[in-house]
Amino acid sequence: MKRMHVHVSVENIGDAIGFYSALFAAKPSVVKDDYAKWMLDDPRMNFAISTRGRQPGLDHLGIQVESQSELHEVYARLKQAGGTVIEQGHTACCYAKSEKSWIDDPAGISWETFRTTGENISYGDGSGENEARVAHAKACCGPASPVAEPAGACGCSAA
Amino acid sequence: MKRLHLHVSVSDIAKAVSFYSYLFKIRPCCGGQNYANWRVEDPAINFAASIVTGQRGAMHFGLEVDTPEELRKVDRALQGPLRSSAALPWEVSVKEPTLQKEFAS
Repeated sequence: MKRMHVHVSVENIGDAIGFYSALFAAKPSVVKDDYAKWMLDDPRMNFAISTRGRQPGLDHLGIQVESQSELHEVYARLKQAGGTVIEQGHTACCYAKSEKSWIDDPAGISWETFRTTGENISYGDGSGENEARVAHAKACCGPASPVAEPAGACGCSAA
Repeated sequence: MKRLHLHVSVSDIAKAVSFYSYLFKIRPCCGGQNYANWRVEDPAINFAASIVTGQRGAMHFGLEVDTPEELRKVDRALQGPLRSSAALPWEVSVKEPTLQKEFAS
């Protein structure tokens, strides 16, 4: 089973932990001075926040997989999706050791596909991440104003 | 089961439909000239993309809950200063669209 990943840059870790713990009705599973992560089952997602100098707002999205076969399956989808796929291989980031790749969607939103294999004692140097995401360093994802959706658009049934 | 909702703004809906249909391995369930919506089961998300002039990136996140009681529970948990501390607008809604309720930071 795959898990949706969302990484949000925040200004204040303490305030954000308070907000998201209330929203998710769960405490984060990882708390650091500059990072926190919720591994939730309902909804099933890996939600992370950090204060790493980026503009507050969405940092990136991702799909977390549990097996090598799922990783290869999603990698194949990325190749079909088009755009530049940057395979980082094994790397340490966000206090975790993972195998991952990056792709930008057509609007410039970064998507990470990854399989985590263990914890890392530090945040990670981010060198590989910076290289992989250099094309994304254009502050596309700052805070946005709420915009009304088309009526009923989000409540439609699955095709 | 709750479902994460993501709504992003894109510059070209056709390109977004192509990209995300390959990424999720499913076609949009609905949409139009300026909007597309995917109901993905693995991972379980409600993902929407739309064109909003002058805006690109995340528009808002959301949580879909199963019942009005769950919605009220989340609403109560987010009273006070917490409500204004989010880095992005969050919408909490019941899966029945007529019962939707929205809040924003």
